[in-house]
Amino acid sequence: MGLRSIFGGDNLVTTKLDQAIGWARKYSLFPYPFVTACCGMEYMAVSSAHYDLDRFGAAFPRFSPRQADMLMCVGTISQKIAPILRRVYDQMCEPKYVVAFGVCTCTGGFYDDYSTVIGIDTIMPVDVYIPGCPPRPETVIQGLMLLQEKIQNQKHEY
Amino acid sequence: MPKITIDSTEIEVEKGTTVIQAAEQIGIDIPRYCYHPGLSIVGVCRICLVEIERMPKLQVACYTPVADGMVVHTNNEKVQQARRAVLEFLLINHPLDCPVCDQAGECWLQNFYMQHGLYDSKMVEDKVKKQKALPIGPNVMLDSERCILCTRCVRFCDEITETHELGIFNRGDHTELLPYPGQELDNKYSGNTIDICPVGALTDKDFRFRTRVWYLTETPSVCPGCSTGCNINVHHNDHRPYKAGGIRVSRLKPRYNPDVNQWWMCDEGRYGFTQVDADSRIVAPQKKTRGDWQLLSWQDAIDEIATKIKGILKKHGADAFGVILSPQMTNEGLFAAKRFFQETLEVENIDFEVVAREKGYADDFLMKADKNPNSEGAKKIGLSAVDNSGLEVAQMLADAKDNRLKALYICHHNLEKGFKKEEVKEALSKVDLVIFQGTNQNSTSNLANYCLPSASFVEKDGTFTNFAGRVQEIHKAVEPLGESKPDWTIFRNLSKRLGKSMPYFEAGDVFNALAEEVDAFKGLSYEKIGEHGVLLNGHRASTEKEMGALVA
Amino acid sequence: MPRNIFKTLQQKFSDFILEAYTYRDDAIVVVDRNAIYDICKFLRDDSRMKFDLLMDLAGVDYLGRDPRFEVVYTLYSLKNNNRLRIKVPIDERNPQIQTVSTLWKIADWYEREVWDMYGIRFKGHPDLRRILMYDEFKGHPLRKDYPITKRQPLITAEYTNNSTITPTVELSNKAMDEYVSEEDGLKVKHMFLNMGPSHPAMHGVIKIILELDGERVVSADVGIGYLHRSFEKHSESIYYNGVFPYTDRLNYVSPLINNVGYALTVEKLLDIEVTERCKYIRIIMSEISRIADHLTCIGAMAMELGAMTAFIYFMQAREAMYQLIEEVTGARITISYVRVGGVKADLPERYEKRVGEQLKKVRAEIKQVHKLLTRNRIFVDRVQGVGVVSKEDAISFSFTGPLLRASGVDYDVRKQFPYSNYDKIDFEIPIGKNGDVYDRYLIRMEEMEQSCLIIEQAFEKMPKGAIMVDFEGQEIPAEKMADLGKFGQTKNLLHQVAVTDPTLLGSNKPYHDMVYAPDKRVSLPSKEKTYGSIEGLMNHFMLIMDGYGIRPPRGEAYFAVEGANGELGFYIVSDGTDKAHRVRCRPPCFAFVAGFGKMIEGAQVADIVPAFGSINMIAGELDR
Repeated sequence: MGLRSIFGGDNLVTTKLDQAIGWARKYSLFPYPFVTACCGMEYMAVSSAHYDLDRFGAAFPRFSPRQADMLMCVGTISQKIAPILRRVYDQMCEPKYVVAFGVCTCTGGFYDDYSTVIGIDTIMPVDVYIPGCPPRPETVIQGLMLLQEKIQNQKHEY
Repeated sequence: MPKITIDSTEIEVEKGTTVIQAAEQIGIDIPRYCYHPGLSIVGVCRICLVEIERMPKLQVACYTPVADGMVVHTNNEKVQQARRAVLEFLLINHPLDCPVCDQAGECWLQNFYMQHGLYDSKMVEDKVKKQKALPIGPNVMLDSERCILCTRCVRFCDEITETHELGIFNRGDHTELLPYPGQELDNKYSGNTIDICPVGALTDKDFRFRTRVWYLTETPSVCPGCSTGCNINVHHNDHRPYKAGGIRVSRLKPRYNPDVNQWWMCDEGRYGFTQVDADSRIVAPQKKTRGDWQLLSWQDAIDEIATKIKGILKKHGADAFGVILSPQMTNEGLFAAKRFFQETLEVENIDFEVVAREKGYADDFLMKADKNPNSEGAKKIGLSAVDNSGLEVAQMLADAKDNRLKALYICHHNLEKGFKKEEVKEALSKVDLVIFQGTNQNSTSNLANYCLPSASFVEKDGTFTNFAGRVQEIHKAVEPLGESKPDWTIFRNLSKRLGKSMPYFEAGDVFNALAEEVDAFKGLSYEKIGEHGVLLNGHRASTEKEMGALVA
Repeated sequence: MPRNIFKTLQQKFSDFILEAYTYRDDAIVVVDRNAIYDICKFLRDDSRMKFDLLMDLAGVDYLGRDPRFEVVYTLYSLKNNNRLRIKVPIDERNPQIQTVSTLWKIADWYEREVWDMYGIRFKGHPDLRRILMYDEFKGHPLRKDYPITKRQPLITAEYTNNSTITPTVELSNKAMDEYVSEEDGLKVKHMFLNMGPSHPAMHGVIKIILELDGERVVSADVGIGYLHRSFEKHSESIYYNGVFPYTDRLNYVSPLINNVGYALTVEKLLDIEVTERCKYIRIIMSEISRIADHLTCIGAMAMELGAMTAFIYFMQAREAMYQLIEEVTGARITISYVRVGGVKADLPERYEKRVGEQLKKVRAEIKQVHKLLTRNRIFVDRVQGVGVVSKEDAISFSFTGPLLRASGVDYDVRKQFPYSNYDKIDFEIPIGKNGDVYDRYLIRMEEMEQSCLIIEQAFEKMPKGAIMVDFEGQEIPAEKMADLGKFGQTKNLLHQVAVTDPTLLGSNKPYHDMVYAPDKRVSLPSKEKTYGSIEGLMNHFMLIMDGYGIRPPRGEAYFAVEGANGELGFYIVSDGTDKAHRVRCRPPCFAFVAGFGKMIEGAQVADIVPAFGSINMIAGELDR
């Protein structure tokens, strides 16, 4: 459905439209900061004046999953909160992006124990992994820029 | 019996006991380097100095015999100072090798420095250089710089093996341990010098840089190399399994047993564990289909074999069935086999002895010609053809050649060791059903129809009976490789499939059943066997010790 | 003092006191379990004993010993300023003991945790259910026979691909029909609102189930455990120095205070003293962390009330603190700076000047925010009179730190049990009157100022300069020194100085003895000794390698430091090996969250936000 099927494939119009939509989407990300642990401190630092996330368009956290499009999973995910994280992810509308912030969300960190989820990619698909314990704000910004690149180069639906 | 006081504890000991032995009896560990209970006492290291009241200078605890009324202090200020001084002298020229030395983690210099030393070094000179990483024999690597000249290895070669290969040369700072010119440390017990060396001077070539010792776990067991059954500790790496390329057992070390092997073991047994993790291990039940091995699940293998056995028994009777058990199996495996073959299948042709054509090396110390750990056990359980009315192994093979034997169950043997290659091949090819149960592939298993994987000696609990009738326990150190199972488990499963179930859930159950049935084992149990084993009924401790001596 | 306590107890309860002794200056009594309620009641009510604060209630598993478990009560008396530890051995076959939740309200939650982690039942407990683990979890994780990696996932990949997830709302045990009140002759049913784990206010994960009558809170049940990362189980599986990264992540806003607390407890067990300079360094770093913590707390609370400016200003000030911390330790938040017996490295050069500059910045920001908030009509209306906790309730819930001081009790661990040279420094403790959120805000603001003063005084009093020992003036790069040592060319090597990376300064000979305790069984030797002599190499080797390490003698110790939230206590049991047998962290905000339900009873929904902000709940510390 949509323009692509009308044109029977990709051509100049669809690629330019993809780029335009990509540009618009990447510069207006609405993060849902699912903050649990120490990485939350770096998230606060990255959102504040010194390492401003606002210049990337991702300043405004939306605390409702229905209004957000980027789920930033910040901090260790324990087994107890995993169903709730999944529920938040399910409640978001497409297109949605998941950022695994901090090594506990990427691979469990050094918490190889009975109560930690060993990487959130066991329960949901992840777009960008930002390792670090906690990652420096510059690393977070690099991760965000990688996500923006990914969004720009994606095929969007219309 | 003289009474002495050590560190305010009174103790009464036999006449002739030395102070260091008396202290051991009450749990006080006096540090020592040159003293070893199995070797002569020389008193060269001087670290066991203790203060004995009314003696003006400190005395060596290893050589001073106990006298009635003696008062000994092993830990006061004077003794501590003396120990620190001795350590300081020993460490003056000691190389900075800890990161590359195999002994790190079990090094007595490190341990005693942390317990008794803890002083600041004053050494600001260059260290004396000596030979490093010098192989002095097929198994031993020497590093003279690390040697503290305790002369344990020299005394071992002089007194125990009487081969006199090592000696101390030069004087003063340049004193060095070396083999005599033109000689190598190549006696059959050279590995023991590595055990007794307290530092990293003599190290094992085989174990060199394999793993750090703090990753190793120790499990007591018995060496399966020959019928002496030296007590050993199996050192296996549980913490870093991915590092050694699949080799789980790192080394074997002797364990003290006053009646069997004391503190020693031979080199053949020490390095004879390579088959445990070799590529030739059979890891799953296999069936030969059209010249190739096809892997089966245990369920399928047992079903097929049981059906075939039933068929052959029905068609040809129990006389066409031959069983060659092995004295490599544990008592439990042999007993379960006996139950299975004699009671469930009612087969009479059972034997275990395959006399090797080439005699193994034997001497009068620890090595015996019979390279099987459990011949005596097999005999006592009643599996020798001499005791049964069945065929012997040679007769079984002859029958097989004449087409009279239809099924052959072989355990662990490599028949080429006892018979000519062509004979074995001819015999086995004429048998309808050949089942091989063992740990490693060999020429006999290649001729079989079915191969069942058996667990090796480090992978199961069980007991061996040595040549003098001593039952000793082996313990499970690592998990069985792949799908392999202990022998008694395989026989129990087969028996269940063929109609008669045996209520054995662990090796202890089988041993208890064995103890009830066989006279020689009556009244024995794992608790009675303990750490050092126990003699079977009917065997007396022989007047000559079980362990011989290399006294000419 | 302990002798009097022992004498009184033995006179009154002679049959039930099994042992009474002191270890490392702690008074310890071992008591039979049948008398625990009476003994606790006596200790709390008696006018001479007056043990009114139940600091900690923990379980310990001594697998292989009969009786297997032990429940450890740590009591504190405000009037007499002393502590008492009561240990009760509990048999494995019948793991039960009488509850003390009727004596101290905080025992309710402590006992739930002991039940969750060890499986010891408390008779008479009003509501014994799991607190840190989820209900579907089987087993008791802190028991020694529960393997640390045995996972019981609540949600797996195949589950997530399939379906709808059923919500797990934990309600307390009252029947639904009871939630009814009458108003003007109408029966009104209460509403249950879930202020769920994913919280907009950046506090981390906690679930508050509110029972609402319109806008007013009738009761609240708080569910925690959403960040349980098994700190205590991990500490039992790694050597003593390896626990520091785990302690960083307890109260992750002020990690240096956790590090210092754990290090001091192990040093108490070992009975060693660190050097004077090291004590002052620890004070300076703790106070910098404390400032960072208070900045975060007030900033976040203000932001939730709508004052975003205060948040941004304080985040700028916190950046200044992070830069200071990064210069010393190399990392911003999770730093692992302290070691048993010292700190990792000495302070960098000319650090005092930079600290002075940054503190000026912080003071300027504090002044700004004072102007913005302290007399601001809107702010004061929202926080004054909200979340009031009376003095008796605060003591019964064993509040400590700013919340206890807001309710009018003068208790600060730095003054009552001075550690690490705090007694040589002159500072004040602000005390509040009303116990509401406004008081706590003012106390925190004032504490930041006091911390700045402490830092300045510590710099003045600190012994300066390096200890030059045997220094012949030649400097060699450390790698070259190691090579020379390896080849046996140790001539005069001990007299040189190894030039290492500036961040490793503390391990270099001139500075090493200033920051490491002089005990060789605990402190790593300096680089010169390690590379230049076999004794130093062996010492270094044995302390680092697996299986040897630091070996405190068998025993136990409890030590508390003043965290940003209150009394942060560590209780460590050592069995003589290089790994601890039990490490228990007494988290200060556990008490606050336990009392939170009571705090907001009768308040409006809008009051929950500032009340919760004033608690400064840090999930890492609460759930460990």
